[in-house]
Amino acid sequence: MNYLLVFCGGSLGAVARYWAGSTIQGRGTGRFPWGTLVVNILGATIIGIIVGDRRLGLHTLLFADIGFVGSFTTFSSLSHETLVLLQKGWYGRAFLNPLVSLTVGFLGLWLGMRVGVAL
Amino acid sequence: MLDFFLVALGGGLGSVARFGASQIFGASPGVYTILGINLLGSYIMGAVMPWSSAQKQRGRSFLGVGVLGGFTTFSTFILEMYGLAHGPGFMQAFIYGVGGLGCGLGACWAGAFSFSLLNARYDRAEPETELENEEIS
Repeated sequence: MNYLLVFCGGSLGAVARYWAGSTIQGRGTGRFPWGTLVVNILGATIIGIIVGDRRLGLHTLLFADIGFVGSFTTFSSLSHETLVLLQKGWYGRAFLNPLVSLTVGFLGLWLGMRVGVAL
Repeated sequence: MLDFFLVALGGGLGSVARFGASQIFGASPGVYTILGINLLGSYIMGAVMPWSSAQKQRGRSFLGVGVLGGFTTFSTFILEMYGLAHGPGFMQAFIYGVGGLGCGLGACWAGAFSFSLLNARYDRAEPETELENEEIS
């Protein structure tokens, strides 16, 4: 049952990331991985809200936290896209991508927690 | 449409693998299961991306976006960083965050390097098989 909840949440999260990521990426110039950046920051904010709201039960957490948001955000694409930026010789962008992900993601999580606690 | 299905299937499987690993190895503070998952996922991503772009787009959707995207996670990574900032201290959180991303980049590069080694070897050993594969795809 637990694994099924994680599977369902994870499937939906991956599709949401695929859709949102490619939609956002399609609007840019293709020189910066905006898709993954926005998805990861958004996901960090949502997980802040989920964790901040302590009334949620185990099954909701498995589906929404570990499943959906866990799969919605990604670390491997962030690493890979940074590597591609480096290989293209865009060192500034390659430095900014993980830096912005980390700092704004952290801020998003903090903000999300405030919202989650207040809910 | 098939792409969406492959991403969903891969994402579900990757998430279940991540959940299973954290059940086995633990996910309590001080146990870096998520970090290990993220680094392993980055390594495989580095090895798989050049392969899948040489093959079909579907391989990329299933493995890269689906399985590895679902397996690795950024949200829990940041959450663990937040936990470190709250508990042990801001410096530990900083080291975890910056070190984790740096190692992820290194792991991805190592994966790409492994692929290029394997590819060079494969090219030398069996050039004909390579041709056959390309015709099929």
